[in-house]
Amino acid sequence: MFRIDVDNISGKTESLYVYGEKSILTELEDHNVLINHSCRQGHCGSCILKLLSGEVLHQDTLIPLSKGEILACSSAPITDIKISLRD
Amino acid sequence: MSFSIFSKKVSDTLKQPMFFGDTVNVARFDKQKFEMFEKLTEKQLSFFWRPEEIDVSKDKMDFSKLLPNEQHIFLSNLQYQILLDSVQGRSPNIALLPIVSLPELENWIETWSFSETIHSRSYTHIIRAIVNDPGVIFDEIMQTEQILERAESVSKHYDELIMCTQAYLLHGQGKHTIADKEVDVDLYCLKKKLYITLFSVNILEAIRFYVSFACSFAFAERKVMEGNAKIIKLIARDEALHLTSTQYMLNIMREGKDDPDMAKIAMECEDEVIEMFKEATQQEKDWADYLFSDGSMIGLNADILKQYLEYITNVRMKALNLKPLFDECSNPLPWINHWLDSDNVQVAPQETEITSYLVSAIDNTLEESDTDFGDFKL
Repeated sequence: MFRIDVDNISGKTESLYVYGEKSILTELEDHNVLINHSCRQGHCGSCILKLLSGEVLHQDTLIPLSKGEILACSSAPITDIKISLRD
Repeated sequence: MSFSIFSKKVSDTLKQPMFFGDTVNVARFDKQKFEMFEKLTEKQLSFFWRPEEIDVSKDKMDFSKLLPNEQHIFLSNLQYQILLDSVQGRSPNIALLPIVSLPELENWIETWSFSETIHSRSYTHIIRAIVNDPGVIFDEIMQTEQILERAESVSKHYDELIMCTQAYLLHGQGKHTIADKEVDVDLYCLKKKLYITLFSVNILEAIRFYVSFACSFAFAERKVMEGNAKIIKLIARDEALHLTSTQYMLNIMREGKDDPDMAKIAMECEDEVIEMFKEATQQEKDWADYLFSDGSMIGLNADILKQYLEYITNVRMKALNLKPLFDECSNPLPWINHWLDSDNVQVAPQETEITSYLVSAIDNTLEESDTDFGDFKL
């Protein structure tokens, strides 16, 4: 099991415990932490988050990402992670 | 001024706006203003599929066992999807190709439209499989008032843009008489019509379609009409690309990264655009009432579908940097994401043939041996 530390997303700062089998977007939704998103396929870039610590498994995406950015719909944790909204 | 299919004018496509600049002559992709469109084209090509690859033979048996009100929901929903893809299979080409100015965007528009024609072909594949006389289902589309109303709302912005663009390309700016009607063709107004049309397309592909997907997937959650759902899953995968393209175009227009006029137009049209979302959601709510007019089905009714409509409208509006219309809520149909998320899109036959592969499926079958309430009394 992995821990996702949510750092002030939609006013929520909390820790979620997940198996890493679902995307971070789905995990957040399952725990009622709502973030912007749209295509759910890694194309549109609406769900970009900042990965503050830890590692994720990331699928290919059409969106160029800067260092430390991930798409919530296309990544799943492979260690404990900490995430926040992009500045 | 008249349109030329291969203009002799040499222009630097890196400096052209997406639309209403110089027309494209050489289809070249060595240098690109917006690489995103080539990425979309490549992704769409990698998604290529043919309806015949999906076995829908079991759906005929399933369909015959549906209750009459469920058959009405299934067929009306399919007829609506046929209408939407009939529009999308031709209109990006007709409306947008004559005014596009970037080769990579021209290429994307053609690829986008082509993929919609695969969707149209797949509906015929489904209908041939489930009913004895497919013609009746298709003929009904043009006789159903509720569907024709939808047709009007999804095509009116396209029609207006096409009429004014044709006048502009033939006669240039100014007042022209077309079919005894005086039309004032002005480039700024045309750009406005384009901006509004792109919103109308985004609403069609990102909201209207998704409401219909919810109905298709609701059947498969009950392990019926799974061949149909598998096709709709592939269609949904394509539509996620398409909605990305209109979202991308609208966002760069609004941010002033393309044509400076468009940034101004975006500010001027904000109220009109919000009104379009309002109108579309009301139309879809009316459609939900029509779908379920003869009764609900297990797992879905008009109220839940309307809640999903409000949820997905908010999602799309936020992605376009608009203030959401409805109160923030979580997805009332969380199971739909199993069908929409990228990691779940597979075309393996066992996914529909062996139902244990389905996640969160509702088992609504009840055998005599399953009942142990024999001595239960109220």
